[in-house]
Amino acid sequence: MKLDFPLIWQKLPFLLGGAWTTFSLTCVSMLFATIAGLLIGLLNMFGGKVLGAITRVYIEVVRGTPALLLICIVYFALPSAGINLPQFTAAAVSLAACYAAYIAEVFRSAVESIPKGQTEAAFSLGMSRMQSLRYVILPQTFRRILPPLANEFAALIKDTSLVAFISMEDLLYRSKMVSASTFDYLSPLLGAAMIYLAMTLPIMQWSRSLERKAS
Amino acid sequence: MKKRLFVCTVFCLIVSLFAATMFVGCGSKSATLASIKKAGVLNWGSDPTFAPFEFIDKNNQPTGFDVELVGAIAKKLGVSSKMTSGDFGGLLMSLSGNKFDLVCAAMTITPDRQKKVDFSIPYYRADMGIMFKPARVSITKPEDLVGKKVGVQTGTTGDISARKIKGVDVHSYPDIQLATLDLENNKVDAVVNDYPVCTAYASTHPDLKVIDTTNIAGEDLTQLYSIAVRKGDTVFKATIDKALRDLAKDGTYAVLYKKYFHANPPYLPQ
Repeated sequence: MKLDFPLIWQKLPFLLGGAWTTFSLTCVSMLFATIAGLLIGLLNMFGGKVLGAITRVYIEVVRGTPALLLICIVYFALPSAGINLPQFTAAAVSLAACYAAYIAEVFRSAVESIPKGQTEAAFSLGMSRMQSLRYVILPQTFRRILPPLANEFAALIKDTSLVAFISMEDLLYRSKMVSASTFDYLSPLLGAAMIYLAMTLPIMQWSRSLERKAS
Repeated sequence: MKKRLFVCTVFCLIVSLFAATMFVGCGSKSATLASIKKAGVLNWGSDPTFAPFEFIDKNNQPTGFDVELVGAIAKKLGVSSKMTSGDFGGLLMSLSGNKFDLVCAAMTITPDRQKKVDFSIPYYRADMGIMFKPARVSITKPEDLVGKKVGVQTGTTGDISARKIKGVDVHSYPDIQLATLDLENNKVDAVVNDYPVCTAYASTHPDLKVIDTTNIAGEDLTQLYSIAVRKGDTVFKATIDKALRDLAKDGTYAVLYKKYFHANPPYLPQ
């Protein structure tokens, strides 16, 4: 089996169209997943007993079920409850809800990795719980959550390929369409892989430079 | 106490998820035809990764036997047709969830699918083809394969049925192209696969011959492809059935069949 580079080149605009779906969906989902994840993580750690239990249930249920199920529920089942979301919104909502659970855990592990002595030191200086979090703990977690967040981003970019199930033409699905019409299974996938890399590499680079600045 | 709260919440969550999914498919049914005529567009779903039934052309537009067939049906209804691409596994769910008016995707009628959707009259009969080199061997019926090396694609109907005949030396390949390559190189005596796939290949390889069969080792292998409509959508189903019969009668079906399968149709929708 030899690689057909002219085919990849010829189908590049078509694949890039799919890449736009993948990229825009990833960015929107990641933004909301990060905000929601931080919130859920905070509530889970400092929200008290009831909120702590609710957020824990959320994290465990979402982490333990396939993202595809969440997508199907939001897209196919919510309309019967009167919430009829278009494909992109449905996909973004469900992926954000899913990744929020992972990010909440990333955030919790970052906070818990900071020695307890620092909180105690902050208390001994007369700071309240909120003040100790705001001025001592959270600034330090920023650097620690960057690498795992970049990791989640890379995983999310590839998880967006699940949206082919609700009839969205993402990058991977479009490469499969090209494969089927040319009977060449390797070249279109390789083309897709290069575009995936072109999306993840700059993000990884950016996360690394942020990490350096923060340290 | 805390643990009990946790268990209760999880239970309630799971129950509500199931309750939510049960509502899927309870859409409007009788109004499909009226809404198509009103919009002037037939919205349908397929998975264009299955040539020659549905695939994309040089300009990335969907084409194929199914695509042109639905186009011809839409023409009979006096509307245009618009295909939406999606993964095969999600098509019937999208249909039940009112995202499409119909699904046409080389889909075999099965009892499991019939529980979820209704099917039109079959528009395609997938026979098995036996492909061989007449210069080397002579095969007129499936039983002639006894004592011969037969190439198949792993897990396909061809694979399963060839193994049912006693005394056949079955060689399975991950890809049917590899089996045909070995047929060309005289490493196997015959290849058993879907009839249209065989004829498409043989049309460019004149040293090969294909015979078609629907019955191997006493087992009916017929797979009938059909158009799926929403469960209970009887008016719309009747309209599709009539359009298919009309297309068979006026010759459109045969023209499309020849265009994509390079042979005369062995079966007509009726």
